[in-house]
Amino acid sequence: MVCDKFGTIGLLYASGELSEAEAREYRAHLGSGCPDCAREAEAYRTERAAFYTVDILGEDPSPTVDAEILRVCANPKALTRTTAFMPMVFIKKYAAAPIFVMLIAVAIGVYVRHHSMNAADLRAELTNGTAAEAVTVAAEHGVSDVDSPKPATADSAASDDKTIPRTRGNLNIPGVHTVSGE
Amino acid sequence: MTEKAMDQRVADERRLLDMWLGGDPGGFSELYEMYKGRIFGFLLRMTGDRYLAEDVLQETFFAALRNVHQFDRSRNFLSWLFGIAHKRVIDHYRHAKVEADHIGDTGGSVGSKFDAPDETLSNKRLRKLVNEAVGELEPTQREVFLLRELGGVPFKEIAEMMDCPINTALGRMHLAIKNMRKELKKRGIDGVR
Repeated sequence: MVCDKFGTIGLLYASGELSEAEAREYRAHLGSGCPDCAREAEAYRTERAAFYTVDILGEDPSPTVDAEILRVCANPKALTRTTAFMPMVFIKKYAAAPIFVMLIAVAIGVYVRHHSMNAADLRAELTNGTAAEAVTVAAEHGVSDVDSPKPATADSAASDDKTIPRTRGNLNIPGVHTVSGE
Repeated sequence: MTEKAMDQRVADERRLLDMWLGGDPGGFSELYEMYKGRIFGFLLRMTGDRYLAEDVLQETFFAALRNVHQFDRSRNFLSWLFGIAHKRVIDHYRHAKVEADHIGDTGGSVGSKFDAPDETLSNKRLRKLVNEAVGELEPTQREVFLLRELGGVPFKEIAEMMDCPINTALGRMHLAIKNMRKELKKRGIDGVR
């Protein structure tokens, strides 16, 4: 049976991640003569030294990139500026949010105000129209003690006029249209 | 790298980091010279494209610049840089919407796309063969292999970066080692075992 301790404990041992007690235990395991672990550990050690070095696996970026990184990062002023102005970065990033909310609130306010004014006009208009209709109907039935929006003259009461409510929405015209009969 | 050399590297790293944070540009220049080859080697093999790798290299160091004050001093600086580089590569492919098969696409062409311009390297042929072998690795194996061998990132952190259990990361690394051995042997680099 092949020992597979190298794949777990052995790698952790090689990377120095075992506690002292665990490392001692693994050393004892190697010392006991486990051929699989000993072979694997030796091969890995040799390969690391020969092939897995910075000389072999490392790469250099172009001088332009080097210069740019050094210019930005090695400048203490850049470092200071970046950290000292963090509140400004925050403000710049989030200042738009309350302004946007305020604009939305103003837009809603204007809309509601406009519509409430229209509603008030319409209500007033309807009230006038209803009163006028009531006077007309009362006159047709010979009732005289109906409240009128305006004091009615004897001529107008006796006349054969027909009263109709005016068209809604025409805010410039008084509440009642009087149409003369033939 | 021996334990002593590793300790020396960590000590140098902390000294340079202090210089950099103290406002001395020399600190960053030295850190950059120490690590650019490792990080760029990783990016080049992950992307398979020199220009893209250079863009991501810049993004990595600029992100490090922005977040250096959040760096946990108990951690290894190089591992932290590799964490940023790894995230940038993943983000790039996520945005390009080709994440699923990005590394597979580059598999056969890696060697041809990033031949080093430096012709004076004495071990150019060995580099070429090893790079070809790395290019043949299955993408997740290559990722673990490069994070470990170039970045020296601990397996625990590799597992976190790749969002997988540590045993999965170890399994991928073990397979990568075996496959590298096989590929190198195919290319005439024998005597490894």
